[in-house]
Amino acid sequence: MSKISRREALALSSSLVTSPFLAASARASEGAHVVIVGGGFGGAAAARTLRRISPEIRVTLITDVKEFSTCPFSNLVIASERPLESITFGYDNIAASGVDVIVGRVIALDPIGKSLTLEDGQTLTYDRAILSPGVSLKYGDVPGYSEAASTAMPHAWKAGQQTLLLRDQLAAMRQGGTVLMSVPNNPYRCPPGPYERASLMAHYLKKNNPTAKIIIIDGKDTFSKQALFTEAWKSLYPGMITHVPFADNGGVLGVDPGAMTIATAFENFEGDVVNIIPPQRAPDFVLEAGLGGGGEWCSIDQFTFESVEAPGVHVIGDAAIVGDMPKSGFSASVQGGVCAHVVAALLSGQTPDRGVLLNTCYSFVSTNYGISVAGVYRINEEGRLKSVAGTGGTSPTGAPLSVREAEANHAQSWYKNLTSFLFG
Amino acid sequence: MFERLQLSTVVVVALVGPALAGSEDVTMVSCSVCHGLTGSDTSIPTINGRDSQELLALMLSFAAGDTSATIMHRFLAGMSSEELELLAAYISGMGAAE
Repeated sequence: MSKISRREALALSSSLVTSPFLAASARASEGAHVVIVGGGFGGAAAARTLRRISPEIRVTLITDVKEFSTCPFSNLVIASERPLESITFGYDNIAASGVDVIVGRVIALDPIGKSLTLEDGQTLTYDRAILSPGVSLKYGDVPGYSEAASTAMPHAWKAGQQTLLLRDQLAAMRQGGTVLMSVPNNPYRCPPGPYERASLMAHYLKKNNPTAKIIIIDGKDTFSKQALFTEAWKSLYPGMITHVPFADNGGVLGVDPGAMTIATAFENFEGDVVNIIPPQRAPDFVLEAGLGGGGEWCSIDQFTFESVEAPGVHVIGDAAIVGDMPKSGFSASVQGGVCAHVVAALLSGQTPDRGVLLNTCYSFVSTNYGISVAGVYRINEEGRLKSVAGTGGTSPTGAPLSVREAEANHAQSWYKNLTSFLFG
Repeated sequence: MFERLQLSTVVVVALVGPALAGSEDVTMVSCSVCHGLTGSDTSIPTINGRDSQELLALMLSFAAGDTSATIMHRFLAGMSSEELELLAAYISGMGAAE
């Protein structure tokens, strides 16, 4: 089934005959091959949407994991409020919907030859590619930190074994111990995520280790939903969480996984549990293919998501600079769905339709205390996806607990509905 | 012949129903991330298949600043009443929850 815009439908209504253009375009996408790289929110949304709207297009999804554990809700796992299994999803249902699912790691992209190479040597060609490859952690940007060091000082910024490691370390911490968190400067995946993590770790410690402390060593001075987080911390976890802004720490100079210390320009911190969230960038194969244009994130046409460096390659989610939209699972899901519409239209020789894009980032401060920040995005005259003035924004400060509880419920509902759509 | 038949079916659908009606289709991507495409059995209400006038009245009330919702008033303030009218008709035309 080919997609028809209102404009074309109107044109057709006057003649009520099939135009040669439409007949040609309806055939154009027949048998076209779209390869999606990344089995997270963006990739899964693109795959499910393409199957739904353009069954004539062949869709291959390449994921580097057999099962995907979501970063959203992983802080609830760290707080021992949910098992990892409850945030982990396989690809059987996506495959059953008619998508060719390949578990493998992409190591090279050739935008000229329109092909992708996997680690096992397999090469795939595409008519259009949609990349939603997430982020790569820049371990080396934190002196003393490395992938090996993350077994002592977990990052837990890709959900899975790292999440369980941090959960277990928190549970095993001595009474009255200190949790250190190192948080990068923007941009990084999930701007409010570190502060939700601090909140939910405090939620766990309040019950199990009430004299423990959490110190957040931040690479910036202000953070997402700050007024809401600090208001909640005062009432729920008084004295437990200390936020040290960049201005008061001067930046992390290095970490020592043996001594469990973080050295900053102004002070040395010692922790019993140390969570290092390193700076991030688009994954290597994406940058090696030139999609970063010399930078660390992918510049795209913010209407079509097509790379400005590589025609035929669309980049969505955390790896791309998508106008004013934040790097969130919600954003990636929306971009995946919209990009599927764009790609389906382009493969049919049609002009893609525009729409309004939305994002909500929910954060749990405790299991029944939710807060949010929302955004509304439209393409402006310069082709940039801009936040619409006078819309969006955060939950109100000073709101009654019933509002916080309603938002916590909505966060649970959002997660259930979205993961059912993507992976169910 | 088969292709022409198929094509004319598509055209009729596009003319009589909102199922393929352009930008509402794209905007609905964002709506569905919370509300789903085929219904919701959670605290987030089902929207597909509901009466378009009921949906429009709700959306206009949120857009006008009724803060009884947690999120929707923050979204709909960014949309015109014409857009909301088209969107309400589109969502209503998606069919009832399964």
